[in-house]
Amino acid sequence: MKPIQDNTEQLQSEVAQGKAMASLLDSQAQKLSMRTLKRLEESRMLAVQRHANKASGYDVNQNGTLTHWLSWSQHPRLMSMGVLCAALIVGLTLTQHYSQQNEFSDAFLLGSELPPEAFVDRGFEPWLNAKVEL
Amino acid sequence: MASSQELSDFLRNVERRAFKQTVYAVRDEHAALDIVQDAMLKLAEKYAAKPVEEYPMLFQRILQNTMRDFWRRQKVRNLWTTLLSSFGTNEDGEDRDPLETIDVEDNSDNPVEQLQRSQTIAIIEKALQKLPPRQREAFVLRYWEDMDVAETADIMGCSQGSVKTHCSRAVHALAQLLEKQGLGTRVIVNLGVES
Repeated sequence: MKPIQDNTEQLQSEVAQGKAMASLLDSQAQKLSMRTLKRLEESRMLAVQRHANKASGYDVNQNGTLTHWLSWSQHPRLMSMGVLCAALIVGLTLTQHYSQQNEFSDAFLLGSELPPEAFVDRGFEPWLNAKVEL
Repeated sequence: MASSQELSDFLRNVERRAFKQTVYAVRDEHAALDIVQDAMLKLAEKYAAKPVEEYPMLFQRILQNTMRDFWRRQKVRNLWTTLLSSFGTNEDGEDRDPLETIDVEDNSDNPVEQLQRSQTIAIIEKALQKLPPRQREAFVLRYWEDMDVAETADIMGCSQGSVKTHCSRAVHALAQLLEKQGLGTRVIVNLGVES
C-alpha cells in the first residue's frame, strides 16, 4: 500500500512542479515585444478574414479577385476529372462510330451478289461505269 | 460552426503561448511567427465548420504538425546548404527595429522578486529548448496548455503511458537543471503560484 501512496505523491509533486514552471513560462509569454504582438495581430486578423470569407461562401484570391468557393476553378481535381471523363466519352463515341462503319462495309460486301475479289480488282469499277453509261 | 468573433477570441487567447512554444521548438522568432500564422490560417480555412469547443485540440495538432513540416523543410534546406556551401548571412548589418526592444510593462512591484522570476524563467526557457522534442511537446501540452493525458496522447499520436513517461522525464530534467542553478523545487512552485 505504501509504494502506491509514494507513487501518487511523486506524481502530484511532478504535476505541481510542471504546472509551476508552465505558469512562469506563461507569465513570460505575456511580455512579448510590440513588433511580435503586431505581427500576431496581423496573422489573427488574416485568419479571421479567411474564416469570414469561408462562412459567406466567398474567397479572396491572392491577386485580389473574389471567387465563390464552390466554383469549378477552385477545385482543380474536379476539373481534371471532368476533362478526363469528357475525353473518355468522346473516345468511346468515335470508336463506336468507326466500328459501326466497318460493320456496314462488311455487311455490304457479304450481302453483294458480286464476289469480294471484284471490289479489289482495279479494272472492275471503270468497267462497271462504262457498262452503266451504255 | 464557430463565428468569426469566437475564432478571433480563441486566437487572441492562444497566440502568445503558441508563439513562445514555437520559439522554444524552432529557436527562431521569425520562423515561429510564420509557423503560428500558418497554423492560424489552416484552422480558419480547413476547420471553419467545426465548433469552437474543438479549436484548442485542433489548433495544437495543426501547430505541432506545422512545426514538424518546418523541421522537415529545414533538414532538406540544410542538406542543400551543406552541399552547396552557401555564404552565411551577416546579422550585424541588419537594421534594428526600435519596436523590437519595447516590452510590455511588468506589473510586479518588487524588483528583487522580479529579477528572481526573470532569471528563473530564463533558465527554464533554456532548459526547455534543450529537452528532446517529444518531451518538450508533452510538457507544453500537458502543463502549459493544461490538457489531460488522453488529449495530449491524441495530439501526439502516442499512448497515454508514453505521455506520462515523457512528462515525468521532462519535469525531472528541468528540475535537475534548476537545482544545479540553486533553485529548488519549493522556490519554483512558489514563484509559479505567485505568477
